[in-house]
Amino acid sequence: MFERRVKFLLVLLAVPAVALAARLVHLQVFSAAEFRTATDKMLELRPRQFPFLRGSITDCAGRPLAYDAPAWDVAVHYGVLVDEPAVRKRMSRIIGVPLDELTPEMLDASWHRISQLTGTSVADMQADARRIVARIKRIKRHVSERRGVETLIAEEIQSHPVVTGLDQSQQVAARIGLSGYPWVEVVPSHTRRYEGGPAVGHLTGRVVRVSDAVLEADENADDPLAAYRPEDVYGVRGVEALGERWLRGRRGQVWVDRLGDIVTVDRAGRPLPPIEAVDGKDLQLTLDLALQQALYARLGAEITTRYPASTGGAAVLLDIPTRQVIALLSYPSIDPNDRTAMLEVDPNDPRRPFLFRAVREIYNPGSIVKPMLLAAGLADGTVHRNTHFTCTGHLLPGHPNKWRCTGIHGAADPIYAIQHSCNIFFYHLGQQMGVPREAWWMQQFGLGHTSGTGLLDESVGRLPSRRTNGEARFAAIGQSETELTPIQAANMIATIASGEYRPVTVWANDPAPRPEAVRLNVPDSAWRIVREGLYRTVNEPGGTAYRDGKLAEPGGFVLLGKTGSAEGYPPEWFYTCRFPDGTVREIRARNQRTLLSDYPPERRPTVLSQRKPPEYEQTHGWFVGYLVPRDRYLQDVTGGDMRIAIAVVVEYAGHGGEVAVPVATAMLDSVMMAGDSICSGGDR
Amino acid sequence: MNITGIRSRHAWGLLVPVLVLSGISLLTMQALFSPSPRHVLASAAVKQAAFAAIGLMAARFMIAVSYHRLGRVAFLLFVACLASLAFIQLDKAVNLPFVPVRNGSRRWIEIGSIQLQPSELMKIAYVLALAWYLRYRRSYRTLVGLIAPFAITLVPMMLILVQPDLGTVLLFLPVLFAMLFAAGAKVKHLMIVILLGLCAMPVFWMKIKDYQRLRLVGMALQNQQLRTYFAEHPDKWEWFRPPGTRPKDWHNELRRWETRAGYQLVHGKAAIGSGGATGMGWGTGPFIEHEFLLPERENDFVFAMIAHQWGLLGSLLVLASYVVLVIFGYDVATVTRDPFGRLIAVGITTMIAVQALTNLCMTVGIGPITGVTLPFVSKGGSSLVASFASIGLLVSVAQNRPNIIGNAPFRFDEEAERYAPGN
Repeated sequence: MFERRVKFLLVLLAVPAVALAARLVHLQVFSAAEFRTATDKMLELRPRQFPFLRGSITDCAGRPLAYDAPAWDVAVHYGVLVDEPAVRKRMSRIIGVPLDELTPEMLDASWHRISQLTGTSVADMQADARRIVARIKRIKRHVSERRGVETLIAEEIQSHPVVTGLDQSQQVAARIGLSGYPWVEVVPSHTRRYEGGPAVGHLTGRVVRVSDAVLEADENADDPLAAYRPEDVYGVRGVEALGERWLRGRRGQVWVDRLGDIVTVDRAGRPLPPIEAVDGKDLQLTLDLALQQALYARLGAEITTRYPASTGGAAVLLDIPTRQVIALLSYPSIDPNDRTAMLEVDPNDPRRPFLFRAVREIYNPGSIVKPMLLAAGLADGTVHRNTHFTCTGHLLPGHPNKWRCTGIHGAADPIYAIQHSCNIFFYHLGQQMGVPREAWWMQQFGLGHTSGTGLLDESVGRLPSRRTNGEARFAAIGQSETELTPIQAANMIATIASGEYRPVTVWANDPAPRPEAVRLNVPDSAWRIVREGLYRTVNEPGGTAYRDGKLAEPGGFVLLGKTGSAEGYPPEWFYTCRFPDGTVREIRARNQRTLLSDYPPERRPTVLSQRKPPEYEQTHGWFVGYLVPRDRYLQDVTGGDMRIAIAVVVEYAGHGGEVAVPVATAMLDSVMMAGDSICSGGDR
Repeated sequence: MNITGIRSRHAWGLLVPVLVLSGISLLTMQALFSPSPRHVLASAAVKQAAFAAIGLMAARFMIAVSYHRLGRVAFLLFVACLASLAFIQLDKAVNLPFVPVRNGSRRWIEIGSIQLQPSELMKIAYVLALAWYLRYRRSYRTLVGLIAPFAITLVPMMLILVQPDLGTVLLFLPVLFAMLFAAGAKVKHLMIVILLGLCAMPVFWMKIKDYQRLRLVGMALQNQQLRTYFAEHPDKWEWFRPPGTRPKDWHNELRRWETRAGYQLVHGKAAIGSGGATGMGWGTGPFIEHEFLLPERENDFVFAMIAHQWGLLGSLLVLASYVVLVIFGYDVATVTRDPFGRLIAVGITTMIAVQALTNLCMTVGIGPITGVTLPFVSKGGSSLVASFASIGLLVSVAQNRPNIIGNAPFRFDEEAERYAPGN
């Protein structure tokens, strides 16, 4: 039995052995030629790539906002970054320095010398080095796992930058000072620089080192010259992200043999032409840098001097016929060049400087939706020129504190209702239209979807959705669920000015064709009624923007517009507190938690009561409007000199008529003063 | 005086193939690690030769010592090996200075410049312990009686699995089955166990890591037509996607198979195939000259280097050496009548055969990549010394035949067994 079973085992093992022999014959006799070719292919010369320059971002006059500037990096060999005998041995072979000369003291000395020459602290460099090593180890582990065996990767025999962005004089000094340390190299590179400061900080966005996720999702992964590499940067936020494909170039390439010498013909004599690097294309914006900076300064000055409690504001200026952005302002902002300032920003700062308000923040629009809904109601036949609703200051008899109006307006017709911003008229209008119809019309004017710039930062806002009478009334005065961004507000008023909807653009040389304008199904007679209302709002006594809506030098132009006041949740509350020592004080804070966390436990006060700040500090002021020749203000804006739509929002400062209108007129004055010099490149 | 201690014809049948394999190994190490193989002696080759010498001494020691003496301390050895394996894992909790972590695994004990791989010694200790346990029993003729042999197997398997070293772990099960089978366990029972194991396969498939799963699928993927088919039918490829992997990543695995999971396989096959019938010659050929073409070429993929240098002749010589070794190994089992010796011979021969087959099948692409080294050929001292010692043990079994008066062991009479007392 035992012998039989052992024989059986032998036969069992013979099966794979025979298969193995057959396989070997197949591989080494019948496929030998094929594998010889494959091996030759593996031995082919290796490509060495060199970088391209990322395209610049310029304003409409060609002034650069962001560009790649030449710079130099100090790179240290991987063997210095990790303290592993095997790696160090390999490095000593590559750089040709005997292993016993690579003492820890020597390596330390080189770190201090780099620090001395570049002004970067050793701790910072070594923190960077640890990050680099962690990344390389991760790649190595990944590759080794995939291949099933420990694999030597190229990064382990290369140098890695620990200090970046040296300028010309620094790099010369570094080259001379570091010549005694063969494991340190000064290598040419480039760095992204931004011009224009905080005025365009949000809009240009910035670039960061590519993440693993981006590398994995790379659409050019098959093209080795266009694919992302771990040391590459890519645009996050703003135009850098919007134009990522356009701004990116293609690396160049030469072939090198194993010794690193460039070769131009392969072993069979076929030519191996070097491939030039293709720099990225420049991206031109529609806005003017000088004007943007002037307007940003103006917006900042207006907000900080007039409304110290305000947390910020935004303004958008559009060219009405083309919907190109003339200015896109968000205050406060950041300077993408100033890394240290950016790091110092307090994450709890209620002013939120990193927020790109003009396209990202959503607000209740308040009354600025009224002209849009009036046009919709007139087009649908919900109301007519002669429709009157009587305003007694509140909607429901016997409920004076519910569904209130801004005043007591008596019998209000459409034009009067716009001019005085009568809520009662619009409660009726909204209720008769119903929420679905209102939301549909809002969509026609660009709400509820992005404005078309393609900026990743953009929010879509929100359309009303609850099908109740209350929501229908709220939607008609722009409260409750309805929310939009400043850029959507500007496009809405531009749609009213021209009678047609069109997506907004910031990219002047965008290769994609511009979408066609969509003519809204609103009769001219309706537009005339709406525009008459907008005219009277600014230019006739009783209009909500009458007092401040005057331009300094009108020059035959007239401003049409609508104010709005949006209720916002107050950013800070007042808390009456009693302290352990018996004193009672009123303190401002975001909420009780942050208030209490400011004090150590033994000094922590008890909160006696809380109250909201004054009403003007709970209200965002809105103004939307446009400039038009005085004699043609009822007609569609299709051409001419001044054809600017503007939307302004000032956070937590008060009602639109008092707050946003002066800011808007101040900015329009600046634009009119700039006049012809816009986009001509002339410096004012 | 007989210095070699060899008195049996079996010994030469075992030693000649081993010496052939070691010789090939030394030549390959010299070719791989010397900048100029014909003129400069590579330190790796010298080291390998030194280990071979130590291995021969270990074999000589095994021949000299009666294996029955070893049998008496078999469990002690086994427990000592278990302890050292457990000790290595202690490093996960407390950082032990002499347990290095390489490529994420803890397999070695390092004392000065000497490195020990306890799992290699475990292989011998395991065979001894199992043989000692099974030698005079008949309990494994019942299903319940199989529990103890399996327990003896699973404990070291677990300890090696957590190193992690999946390749070595997988050697233990074939050895266990071969020894149980040879000892006379009922085929029906073994089949039941195998069936149970097969039922657990889906669980196994769900539990292993993504890259391990890819290595299994990778065997099929070396077929270019299959890759094209999956590329054209992504939904079919989706079936194999492990949960927790993003579809995009899984698709990339297929698209870049040749540079990722398939890299080693493609390059190993190219090294073998380009060797042709007669090979590139000793110390020549692209795969010898360019280290970067095939990582691990001196360890798991050393057979590819042999086939590259000496072609089909060389690779068949290696295969033939193992065949001779296995035939003589099993022959030792049949000529001795000592049950302990029989089981040792079956266990050790099966261990070497399975290890060699796994490695060779992996290298030529008809088995999954598991990271098993080629016995007597791959670089590595512990493995070489342990392999030589096990050959010594085989020779010892062949020569030290105790006189046994009685029936030949493992001749089970089904009929008599049914009426035997105690059943």
